Amino acid sequence: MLLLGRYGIYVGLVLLCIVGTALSGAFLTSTNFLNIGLSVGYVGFVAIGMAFVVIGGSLIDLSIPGVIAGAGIIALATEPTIGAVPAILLALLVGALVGLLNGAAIGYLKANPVLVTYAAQIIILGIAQAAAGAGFIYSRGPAFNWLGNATIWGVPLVLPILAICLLGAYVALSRSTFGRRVFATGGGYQASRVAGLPVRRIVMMTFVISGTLAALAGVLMSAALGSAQQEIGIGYEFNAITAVAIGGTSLFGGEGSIGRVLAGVLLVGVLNNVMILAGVSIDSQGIVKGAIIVGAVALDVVLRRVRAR
Amino acid sequence: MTGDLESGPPVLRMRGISKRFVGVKALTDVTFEARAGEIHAIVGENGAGKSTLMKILSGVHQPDEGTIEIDAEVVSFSGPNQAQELGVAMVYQDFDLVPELSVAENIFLGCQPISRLGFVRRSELRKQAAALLDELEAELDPTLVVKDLSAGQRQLIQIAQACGRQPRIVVFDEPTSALTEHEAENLFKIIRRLKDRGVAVVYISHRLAEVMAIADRVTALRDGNLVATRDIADVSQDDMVHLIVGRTITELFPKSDVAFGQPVLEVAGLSRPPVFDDISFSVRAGEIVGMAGLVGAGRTEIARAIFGLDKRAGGVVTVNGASVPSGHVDAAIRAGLGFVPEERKSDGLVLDETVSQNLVLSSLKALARLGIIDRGRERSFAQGLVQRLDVRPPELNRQVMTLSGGNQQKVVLGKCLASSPKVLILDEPTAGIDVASKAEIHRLIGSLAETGVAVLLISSELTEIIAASDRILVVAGGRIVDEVPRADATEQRIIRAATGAVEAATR
Repeated sequence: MLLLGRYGIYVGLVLLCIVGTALSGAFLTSTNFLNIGLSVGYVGFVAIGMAFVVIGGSLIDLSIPGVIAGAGIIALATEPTIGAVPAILLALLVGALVGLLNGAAIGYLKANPVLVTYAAQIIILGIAQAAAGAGFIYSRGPAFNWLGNATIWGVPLVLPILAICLLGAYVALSRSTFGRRVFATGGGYQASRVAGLPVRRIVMMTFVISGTLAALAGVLMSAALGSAQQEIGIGYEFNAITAVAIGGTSLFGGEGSIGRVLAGVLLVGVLNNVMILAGVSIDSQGIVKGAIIVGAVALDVVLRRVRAR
Repeated sequence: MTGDLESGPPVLRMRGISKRFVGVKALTDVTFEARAGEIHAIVGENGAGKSTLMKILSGVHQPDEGTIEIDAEVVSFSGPNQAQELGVAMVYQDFDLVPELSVAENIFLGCQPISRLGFVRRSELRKQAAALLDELEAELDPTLVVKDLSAGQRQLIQIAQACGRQPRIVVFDEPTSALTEHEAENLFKIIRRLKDRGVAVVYISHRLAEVMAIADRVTALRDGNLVATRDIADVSQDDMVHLIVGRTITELFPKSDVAFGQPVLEVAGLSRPPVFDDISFSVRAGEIVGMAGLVGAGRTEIARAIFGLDKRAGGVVTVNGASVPSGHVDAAIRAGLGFVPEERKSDGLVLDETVSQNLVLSSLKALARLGIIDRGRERSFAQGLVQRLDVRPPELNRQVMTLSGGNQQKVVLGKCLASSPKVLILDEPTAGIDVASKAEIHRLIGSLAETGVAVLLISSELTEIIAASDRILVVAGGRIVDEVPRADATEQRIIRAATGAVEAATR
């Protein structure tokens, strides 16, 4: 049972790939794998940030759709005047700032994370609409065009960037003092406080990470689309939390790993891909995904019980 | 065991009771009986199995083996309600009352007299409550609201509640731990009255002097086993300690003579009204200062404020002359304070994490370079602590949740020792811990004192605090009301001080 909790996600991923290979000759091709990668790439960034938030014990960051749209709009809109690199940095900074405000309210004022981050989402989307209208902001300069279309050995740039982020997050979570503190805070808030950890700041930092990575996803997405508008980020918060939960990161906090988050992200991507290749209808796809989430959460609860005895 | 028939036949017989919880044997083949009209005390350490036995008697747990007989008939309880119906009543130490309701409403909670239309008949309720309280000769107005009452008055409600069902067996679980001396005397009168009415009273207490005074027989449990059942006339208090711990007090709380150094921890005028006020004391290097008091006297809150977990309203805390800021645990640890909290599982440990991860939690910075943890150093650091504290099993990657209480506590202590504290504050460090680990922990505390650590020991177990302390501060109502040197420390003096001041204040 415990082993299933620990390695189940990887086993599931491999099984699903075998099913995919059996079902369709198109599955086991490099083009198809690139497709899967691209389809989950942006969610990947968001899921990394979400993992920090969840492991730190704060359940969820719902501000993400706002941050993605806001960052995309800011980057594209300011690029003609301040240049591409400052525009990107500005967008990331705004994402970090949103995270800082979320985190301050949740970490220091003990506000409810669901309500705070949901309010943040609504506010940012409102500002984005006021600033950009209901229409699109189009990318004008060549820099974003390049960023959106560049490839390295045939692989779109977004994937190597994601790989770097995954590596960084892996080191931060499992090798650094900060990562250890995130786990401890999520697993035992009071005990961490007694141990002298700056628990409030740690909680805040997890939201800063989440905000920054969501902003990065927004910038890359807008570059690839060549445009940004307020709806581009909708649904990403739930896709990310799905990947995190399916990967086996406990929604109670204090547990999880970047490997599992990656596996969760890939599982969702492969599952979608296999269902499309197998010709499963859109409605049924939703049902399957929902059932898998329920299963992952149920497993989490059961494993907690087993271990608590 | 005793063939004595004077106090009547046994109302209750629990035979060969065994109970296992996953991985832990809580009770092994325990036999216990109580006769009508006797007061039968159960004594034992925390974790000896007293509460498990009583939970089986009250139907909360079902025994794995063994039988319960009431009036010579074998019964089995599927739950607490059934036990109540068969005449078992419990008076617990933490009273489960609704603070916003009146005394009468609380007495009849869930079984109020109801009129045909489904409304509570208030006058009838009040009358019945008053009758019950009268029967106990308890002076308590049934219309008072519970939140304004003292611990003793709340307990009366619970007793009245229990007696309303005409029980055959009444269990009192640590009934005096929050009572003033006067309230406790009142309680004893009520208990004797129950005895005279032919009720079998089961009395659980840590306070041996009390047990000597009130009980007819005593049963001692140790590590889930029955040690002995004796007539109280045949045992002395020292015998009882020996029955409980299986060794002498000096074996249990080894005490070495240490020459004290300079004051290390100095607390001056510490206050956080209304919880505590004007707390001033100092602890010298090598000295073990005990802090005694009733449950709720403010000891834990004082400790938390010293350590920076709670903000102080006023007062100064210094370690070796350097002041410790209010509300900053991190700074307190750096100043040389270590704290072992009362709630081991929630405040002391991150239960999901490993032994090693818990041990290094306060020392991560020292084990890292540029924010990245040096795993080799981490391992040897944790390994050193595991060996020093003799944590068993000595596995660094074991989840701390799966350790025994004693070994979990060693991990908590190890985490504190990792930052080489000059002052160690221990809040109920041996609560719920087996006898062997208890002795080990006290040996460790003693050896820390020998190396010049100043120790503040909070404990509700008088035997422990008297045996281990060089000096005892007695806290009552948030103030230090007495300071007792080791030579003068007796249970009576401490209880008197701890309860006397409260009474003086409420009079």
